[in-house]
This record gives sequence, C-alpha cells and structure tokens, in this order.
Amino acid sequence: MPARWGAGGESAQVMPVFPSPPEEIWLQILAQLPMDDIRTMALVNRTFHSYSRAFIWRTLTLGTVDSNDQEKAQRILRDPDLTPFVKHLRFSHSQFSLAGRYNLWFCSMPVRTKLGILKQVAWAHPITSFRRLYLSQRSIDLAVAIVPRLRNIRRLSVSVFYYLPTLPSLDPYRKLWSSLHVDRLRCLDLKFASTTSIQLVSEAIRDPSIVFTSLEVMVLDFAVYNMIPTLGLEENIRRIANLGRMTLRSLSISFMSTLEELAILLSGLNFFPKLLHLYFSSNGNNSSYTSSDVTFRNFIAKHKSTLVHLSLKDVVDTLFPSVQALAEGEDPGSCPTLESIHLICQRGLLAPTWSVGNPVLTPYSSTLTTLVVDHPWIGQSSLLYGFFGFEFEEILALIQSLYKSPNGCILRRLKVPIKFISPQLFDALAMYLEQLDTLDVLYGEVVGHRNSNRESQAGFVLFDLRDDSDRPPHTIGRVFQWNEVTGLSKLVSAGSEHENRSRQRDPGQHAITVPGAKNTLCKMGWAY
Amino acid sequence: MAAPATQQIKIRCNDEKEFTVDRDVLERSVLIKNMLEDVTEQQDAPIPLPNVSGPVMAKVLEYCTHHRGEPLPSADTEQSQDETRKRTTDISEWDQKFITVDQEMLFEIILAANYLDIKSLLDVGCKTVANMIKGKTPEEIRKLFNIVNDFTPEEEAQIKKENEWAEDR
Repeated sequence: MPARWGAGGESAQVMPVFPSPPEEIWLQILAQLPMDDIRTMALVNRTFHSYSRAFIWRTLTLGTVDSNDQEKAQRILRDPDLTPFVKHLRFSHSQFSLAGRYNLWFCSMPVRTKLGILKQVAWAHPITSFRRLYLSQRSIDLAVAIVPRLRNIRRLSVSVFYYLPTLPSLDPYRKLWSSLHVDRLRCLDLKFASTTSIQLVSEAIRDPSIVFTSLEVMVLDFAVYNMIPTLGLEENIRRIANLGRMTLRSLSISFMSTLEELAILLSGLNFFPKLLHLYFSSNGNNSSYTSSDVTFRNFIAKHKSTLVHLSLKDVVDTLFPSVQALAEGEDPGSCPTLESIHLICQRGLLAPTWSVGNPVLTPYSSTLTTLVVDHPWIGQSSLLYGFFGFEFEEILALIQSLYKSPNGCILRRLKVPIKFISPQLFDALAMYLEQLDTLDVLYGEVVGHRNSNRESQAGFVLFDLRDDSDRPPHTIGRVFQWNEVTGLSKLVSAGSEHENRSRQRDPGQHAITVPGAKNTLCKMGWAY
Repeated sequence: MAAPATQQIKIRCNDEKEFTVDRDVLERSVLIKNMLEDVTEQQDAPIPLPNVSGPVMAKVLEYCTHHRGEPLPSADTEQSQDETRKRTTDISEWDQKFITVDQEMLFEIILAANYLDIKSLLDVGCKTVANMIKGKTPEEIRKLFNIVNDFTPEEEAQIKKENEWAEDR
C-alpha cells in the first residue's frame, strides 16, 4: 500500500509509487533550507505547512511600532496552534525590518507608549519556559517587567549602543539583574558598540556569585572586565579567562591595580585565540600606574617583544614615543612581532605623526599588517558632523605612506569612516587593493529631528576582500538598505530602490560593486 | 608479516539478496556496528536487513566503501535549528556524483541511511533534496514530488498572509 503523503484524514493525498519519507526526514530536509524556501514549502500542502511552522515561528520578534503588528503578535502568542512553535522571543524594533532576521543585535524600541501592550503580550504568553532572551537597550524596561517570570533562562543577550545621544541609565540594568534568575544563567551575549557602554552593563551586572560558562561578544566583539579587588588575583584571572575565550576579539581590563596582574594576564592571552585588541585602563581607584610611570613603561617595554596585537589607550605613548621625544634622543625600541595598531586619535594628529615613514612607527612597520584608525566618540555634540576626527586627505596620506614604507609594510586591514568611501579612495588604493584583506567601513548620521528625542544611528561594515571562491570578482555580497543610511548605494550599487529591496530579501545572491575591490563581503552589522 | 585479514560480514536484504562486506565498511552504519558489537562469537548467518532492498543496499555499500576509514560524525552533533544555525547545502564532488540518481532511488537511499543510521549519507540525501527544492515555487515543488495541493483557497490565502507577516519580522 503506498504511503500517505497528505495531511492525514480525508484530505490526505496519495503519493507516488515510492515510499514517502517520514516526518523526521522532512524536518531534516527543511532544516537545510533558507527561510524563504521554508515559507514556500508551507504553501505546498497541509503536511508541509505543518512541518514548516516549527521553523517559521521558532523566533518571534515583538516591538515594532505598528499597532497592527502588535495585534498580530498578540494573536500569535495567544494562538494555541502557533504558541508551541515559538522558541525564541525577541523584543525589538527594527527600522530596517528585514535586517532583524539576520542580526540579533539589531534592535531598539523607540515608542515607549507601546510598552504597556507588549507587557500584556508577554504576560499572556507562557514564557516561563524560555531559555533565551534578547534585549535591546530600549526594551530594558519591558525586560525588567517580565524577567521575574523567566525562571529557566539560560542565555541572556543584551544590546546597548553607545551611539545614542544620552547614555543609558544603569538603574534598569541593576533592576534586571536583581530580578533575573541568574542561578541558571549560563551564557551572556553582549552586543555593544563601545567599551564604555559595555562597562556600563558590566558594572550593573557585577556579581561575584556568578560564573558564566560562556560570554559571547558578538559582532563588535568588545568586552570589559572590571577587576574585583575582593576576589583576589587568581579568581579575577580565572574569570577573565572565562570571558568568551573563543569569540572575544577585543578585551578591556579596567581597574587593574598592579603590574603583576597585568603580567599574569599577558601570559594568559593564549586563552583568546581571536583576540585582536587588548585595552588596559588604569583609572580605577586602586590605580598604581600611569602611562608615564617609569615602572609601567619598563614593563611594557619588556613585553613588547612577545606582543602580537595590542592597543593600549593609556600607554600608546609608551609604545610609540613622540617625534619630539625621538628628537630628544629617546630610543624608540622595537616590537618585532607587532601586527596591529589601533589608533584612537584626535584630528590633526594622524597624518604627520602616525605614518610608517615616520621614525615613530618605523620599528614596527616590518611586521605591521593591521591599522585601525578610530575616532573620538565621546563629547561630540553632533554625530553627523563631528563623528569622525579626520580629513580624507589625512587618511589617504597615511595609507599611502604605509604602502610606500621602505620597510615593506603591507596593509591588510583598513578601517575608515564611510564618508571616505569614494571613487577617490579606491583610485588612490587601486594599486594596493590586492594586498588589502579587510576594509572596515564606519558610518553614522543623525536620522531623526522630529522631536527633542533625536535619535542617532551608526553602523559598521566589514568587507572581507580575501575571498578566493569562485564568486565573480569585484563584488560585495550583501546589500542592506544603503540608500536609507548612507550614500554608498549611489556610489557602489547601481539599481533602483526596488531592486535594492529585492536584494535585501536574498542578500546572498546579489552583489554591489566596489571598484577595484576583488572579493566579497563577509560580515556586516548595524547598530542603533 | 602479512596484515591481519579484514573480517568479512554477510548481510541479507529484504529481497534475499546477500552481500559479503568488510566489517569496517559495514561499520559506517551505526545500526550494524551495534549489532556486531552485541554478537560475541563469529556468526556465519547473514545479518537480516528487512528494510533495505538489494539495489539500494548496493548503493549504500558503494558510499560506505568510498568513505571507509573516515571518522564517524559524533552522535550528539546537536545543532540548534534557530536562525543562527548555518544552513549549508554544500556536497562534495564525489557525493554529488554518487547521489545523482532518480528520485525514487534518492528517497530509498535516504530511508536506508536513516534506518541503518549512517548520518553522513543521510545528510547528503537531505541536502540533495533541499537543493532540489531551493528557489522553486510551491507549484513547482508539487510537480517535482507529485504532491497534490490539498489547501482550500481560503487556507492558502491565510497561509500567504501569515507568511507575509512572518517575513517582516
């Protein structure tokens, strides 16, 4: 007897002569499909509709500003047919709605008046079984309201973005932490845009009784650890070693009180295979050193020979003595293994000082492959006009000086503000792009002037130029509403808004072109 | 010194077709591996495989022979199926050629791989079917797998509406 292929009952459909796979096999097949194809499968027949729902409704996002959406969300969460499928619940608002499907950290909730509705929704839903919770900065109040019910939460994801004009208050985070059933929490995801914001949260959630098995810092990869004097050095170091050792790319250690602690930490850096940047902050109460402290300078000088990636905000002067100091006969020393430098500079400082042709960087240029030029975030009254501290010519001069270095410096990674992404830049880099692996593009602008609660947005785009796959050359593989945020679409992507929108639905199959760049985008993200 | 002879195991399919196969090849199947471990003494009687036919078993053995010696995937490769899961339908060149069979044989292989507990073969089969589905419309999928649309027009409209909303999340 042939297998039944349909939904069962009267409407079941007879299948062909060969046996139909059981549900478990079809679920495995569906698991291999992108979400768009799973939605298509839902339209094939009742059986596949039933199979597909578990995938389609697995993650439910709430918090959009449209009141119709709120009603739909309530309907879904109260629908006994759909509720069992919802395994992940996100509270978010995404102005770029599609992006929410791809980026967990893309969320905020600007309309506070909707909080009441959302609270009702959350209370109506049997959320007590949820294991994971994603929070944005703007949904923190909602989270505080519902977390007492999340008794089984294992994983908490928190997004806090520093680009907002007003820094978030710590109080909600403290409330959140005090009401959270942290005894079962095993994983903390932090998605931050700045070390300052992560500091805010880590301060709020500092609790010596909690040991995480995992702390994942996604996308922007920053983590801050505040030394806790009462725990002793050994325990602090152990906790640092637990900080997302597999994912962490940037680590900031604050309130480190002694050089011995620093020495032990440096010796343990192999715990972090992906760590690119290491920051030390000595501005704690127990600070016993400064960047000008002779002991500390000697300490850094001693460890320079083994460092590979280093970014020391407070001690950059120690590693890189000023031109003036060199002129006065100071030995610049050498750091034969240094591969990356992260510069946090003020305008005007860059071009004349930080160039490989300059004796300041010469000792390092033979191994230097990464240069990150950062910007002063703090204290800018306007993110749009004062966002980045450099002029285009400064950036260009620096890049060119790096390439022209007689020591053969090869620039592999470059991070620049998006306003400098132009034909001029690509022209200037044309002959060097073969060597460039990664291009980080930073952008930001003020998007709302409608009321006093002006909102800002900023983001990062990382172009990986190393891809040696068979994809067509000179392409970048993803488009994300460029036209709404930057002028990049006009520059690098031809096509109408409609085309751009269709591309967003299937970012893997369309491309935009960067002249001279040869390969594909590997990663990008947005922050609000 | 001569290498120790590989133990030969006999299996019998549901159509009475018998195969004599090296033990390490057969042990790609977790089901058979467990069976063999449960048997302490060497038995001459063939292992019955009532859910697999001779032609399908021949294909399965071709796969197992090609992949013999490769490490078996761990049993607890639990993968979260949320949106963060990487969906990949990449299949190696040899596997692609191997799995280029008619649809009936493809599903028979998948069912056999599932029954015999050969995870890698099951993956190849599922990925192949997924690749057949990708990018197609519901109607094309129905045609491909000979599926009858049992939705009422109202149901279909409702699901489309539902999908539309889900798509925007």
